[in-house]
Amino acid sequence: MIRQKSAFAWFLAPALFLYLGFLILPMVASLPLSLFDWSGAGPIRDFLGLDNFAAALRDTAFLEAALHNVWLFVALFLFTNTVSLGLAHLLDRRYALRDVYRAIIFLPYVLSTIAIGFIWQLMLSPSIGILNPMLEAVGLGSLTQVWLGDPQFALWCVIAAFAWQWNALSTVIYLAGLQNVPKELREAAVSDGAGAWQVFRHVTVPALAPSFSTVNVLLVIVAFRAFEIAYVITGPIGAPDGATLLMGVDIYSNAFATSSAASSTTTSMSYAMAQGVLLSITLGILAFGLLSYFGRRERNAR
Amino acid sequence: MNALSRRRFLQGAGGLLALGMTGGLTACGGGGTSGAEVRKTTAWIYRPEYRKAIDALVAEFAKAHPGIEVDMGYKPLAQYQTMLKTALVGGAAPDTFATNGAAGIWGDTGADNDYILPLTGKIPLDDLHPSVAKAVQYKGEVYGAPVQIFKIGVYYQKPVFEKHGVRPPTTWDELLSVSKTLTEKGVAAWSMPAQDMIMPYFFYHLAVNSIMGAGGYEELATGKRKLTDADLLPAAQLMVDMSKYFNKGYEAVAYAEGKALFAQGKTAMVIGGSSDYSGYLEINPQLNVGFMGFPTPKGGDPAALSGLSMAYVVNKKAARKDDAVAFASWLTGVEAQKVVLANLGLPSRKDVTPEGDDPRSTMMRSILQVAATPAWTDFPTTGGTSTAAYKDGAGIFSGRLSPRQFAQLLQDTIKPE
Repeated sequence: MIRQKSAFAWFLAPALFLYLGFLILPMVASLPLSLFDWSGAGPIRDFLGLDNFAAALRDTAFLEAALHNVWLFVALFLFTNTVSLGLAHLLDRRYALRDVYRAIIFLPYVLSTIAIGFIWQLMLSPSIGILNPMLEAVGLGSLTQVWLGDPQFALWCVIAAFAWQWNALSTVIYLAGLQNVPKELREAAVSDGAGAWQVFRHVTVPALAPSFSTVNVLLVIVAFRAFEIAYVITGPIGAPDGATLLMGVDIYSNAFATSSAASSTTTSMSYAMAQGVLLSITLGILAFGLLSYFGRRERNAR
Repeated sequence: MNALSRRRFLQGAGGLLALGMTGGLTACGGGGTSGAEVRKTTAWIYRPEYRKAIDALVAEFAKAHPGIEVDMGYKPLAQYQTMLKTALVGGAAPDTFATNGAAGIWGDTGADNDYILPLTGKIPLDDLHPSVAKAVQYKGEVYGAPVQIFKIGVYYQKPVFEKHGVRPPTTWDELLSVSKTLTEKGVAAWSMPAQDMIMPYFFYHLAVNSIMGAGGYEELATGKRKLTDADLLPAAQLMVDMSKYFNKGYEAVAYAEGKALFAQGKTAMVIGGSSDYSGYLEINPQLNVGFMGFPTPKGGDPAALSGLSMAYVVNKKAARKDDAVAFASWLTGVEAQKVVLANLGLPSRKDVTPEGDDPRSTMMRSILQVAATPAWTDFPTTGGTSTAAYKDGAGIFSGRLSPRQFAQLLQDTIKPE
């Protein structure tokens, strides 16, 4: 038993070392740095106390970005728990080419997030995008829009790209959950006279509680630390004019400048760190809250 | 752990967090030098698409200095500042590195934070274009070896102008009327990618300089004039008035995409620099374009912007300082500058001029003939205007910022000398 534990520890050590060294340690170290004035290069300047945090909470661009992250979370939450769950349900049945459909649904998760950003940018670009020509080709020309140039649509386009990618993993997790629901339970409910909806509501959903926990806690993390897809599609300032700016992109821009053509003298790593700490705290609270909520539901379901 | 090392540790760890938080951009170590017998010196360049030209420069340097091997690292432009900053803080920066403009001389990856070595006495200042010679100097020392200069003005499609019977505009009124005529004839008059606000910033900069004239920079730098002065506000208004002639969805179009649209002949005009021409030709070898200065409010000589496009600086912690300095200073010599002219853009030396009759040489000659005013991005006094425009300036197109507010946004970053 002791030998087995020792083996586990050895297997765990490399991942733990990387996790501590590249995530936990920098995170802890960023807290003191966020109390100073530091551009990200050169000497650390004056002690500012909590000024960076106060400035972040007054920064309208950051607050609007936070609101966009909230929208992203809400939209993904609704999408995941309807479309992804529905897809998982469909993929759980037996029919021809089912495995091909499963592979297609999972494909976006295998693609790099940068590639996904480029794919969506190429679809929606005002000048070279293929969506508008396709709409015109099928007689839906009246629906064409300047998708990424119009603040009314741009954020939803970015959210759609995130949903497309996120749908892959959430569907697979739900599918795995569905496959673990004992067939006998469903059959017993049916023989007791329950309809399809009642079986789903009273048998499947409670049995899926662990999957709900996993998917929705991961979803919080995905939605609030979202960066790459948005950065590729709408750039460093969340074009048009911040309409698609997310917290991750704003933090990156403040840390490293919006453009390589920009003078880097106006960047502030310490301010970006204060924003990062605020984001981490928010994420921690939300993830912990959701874990507690779904944990209670899981215990009740048992 | 003493105070100094603790601070270094915190800096490095903090940098790692910011990278991790935002999705896994990888800090890229430049690597140090190898063994002494090899005499390898490391260097970085921020544009992989310059590879052909830079490889030619490195090969030419190797011929002149057989004992030194330059190990060039090609880094993507979008991540260059991030990589460089992280490498400098982490002590992993290359021996020499290219600066994108003059901010690398005086900015926080430059002399202000003591990252780069003075090259005073090793750069032939008298042989350089005066504006560039000025741009590489900071606080009494020379810090950069300028490789090429830029001239930014307006490229236009000659066949499109001829087809629709319009001539290159020389006044703002003509600029508006030519743009209107082309738009009415179904031509997208302008490529104006505004996703990152780089091109709109230069449009505004050109418009302001067209009001102020050649001496305008000094007045701005000394605080005699402000961007919010009544006579300069029309520059921001012009950008708003012109926006109806910009390409569809310009607010969300990326910089490279906007340039590609022009190169493909899909738009009639674009704000562009001397080094852009090679890129246009790569996309469309048949391209037939002209280059002009920016029209002036009431007539007069249209002028372009001129400044430092790229310089090499030497890392103060370079393992082989002598070899790094030798490479950097060689770049300003006649041989290197001829390679720059043949492959890259406008050389920084006055005595290296385009001579051939090929389209590239002809274009470079015509660009050189256009009058020029200093670019704000060359100087610490006014360099912050670009960052302000890139980060917050898009509001001028959405209506969040009035022309006055846009001008104020940029003016607030100017630190009069």
